[in-house]
Amino acid sequence: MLKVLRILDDDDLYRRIAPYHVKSDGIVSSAAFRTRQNPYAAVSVDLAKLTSPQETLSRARQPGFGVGSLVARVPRSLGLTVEHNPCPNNIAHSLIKGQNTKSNCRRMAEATEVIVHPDGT
Amino acid sequence: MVAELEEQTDTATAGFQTPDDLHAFWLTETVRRHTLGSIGVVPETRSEPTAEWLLGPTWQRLVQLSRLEPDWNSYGAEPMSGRAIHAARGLLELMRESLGDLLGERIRPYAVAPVSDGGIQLEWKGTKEDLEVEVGPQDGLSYLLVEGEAPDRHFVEQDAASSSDVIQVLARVLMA
Repeated sequence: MLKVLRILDDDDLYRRIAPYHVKSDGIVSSAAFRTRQNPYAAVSVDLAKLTSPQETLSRARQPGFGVGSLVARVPRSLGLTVEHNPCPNNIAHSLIKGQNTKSNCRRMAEATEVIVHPDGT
Repeated sequence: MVAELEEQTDTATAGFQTPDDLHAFWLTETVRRHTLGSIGVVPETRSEPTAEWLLGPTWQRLVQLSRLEPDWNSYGAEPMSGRAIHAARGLLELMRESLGDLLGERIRPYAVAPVSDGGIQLEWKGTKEDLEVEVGPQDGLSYLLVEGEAPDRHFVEQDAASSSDVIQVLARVLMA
C-alpha cells in the first residue's frame, strides 16, 4: 500500500511541457493543461518534494520535454483540488481535479515557471 | 527603383517549395516594405495580401503539428486530427479574406499549439485583450477572450462558436 501524503498549498508540482507548449515570450501555453474532451479529466503532475525535474523528465518515453513548476495554491485558488495519487512506478504522481475550463488552464499556465526548457524554445 | 522592388516581389511570390523559399520571400518583402517606406511610397497598396505572406509560418506550424505521434505530450495525447487541421486552415483563410487588408500581419496567430484531444489552439494578443481559439478534433470552435490586465482581468469562454463569431471577436481584439 502506497502512502498518500497531504499536499500543502506551498508545495510545488511538476508537469512535463511539450516543445510546442512554451510561447515565444517564455510563457507556458494554456494548451499544456488542457486534457481530453472530458472537462472533468484530471491533470497529472508530480509532487516536487518526492521527485526531481530529471526524474519527471525520465518518465517520458521520448526526449525533448521541459518541466514546469506550479505551486499547489494556484489550482486550489481556482476551486480545483490537488491530491497525491501515488502509483507503483511514480510515488510522486498527483492529480489536479475539477473543472478543466479554458480560463483555469490559462491561469495555471501563466503561473507555471519553466524550470527545464523543452527543445526548441 | 520602385519598379525593381515590385518585380523582385512578384518573382518571389511565384511559389514556395521549401521553408527556405518562404524565408527568402519574407526577407525580400520586408526589405521592399522598408525601402518603399523610406522613399516616401506607401507600401500597403497591394489589393490583397497573399496567404503565403500573412500565414506562411502558421501553415508550416500546422504541417509540423500534423506529424505529431500519439502521446506527443507524454500524458497520452491524441495525434492531431485531420479535421482540426483542415478547419484551422479554413478559419485562418477566412480571417485573411475578412481582415487581412485591414490588419495585415496582425492576423497571424501569436501562438499555435496542439491540444491533447487532437485539436489545435490559436492565440492572438491585442493591446488590451487576448484571444485563444480552440479548433476541436471534430472541427468545433470555441474560444477564451481575456479582457483587461491582472488583477482586474475578465475571462469570457464561448463554446460552440461559429466562424463569424470568432472573426468578429478577433477583429475586436486586434483593433482595440
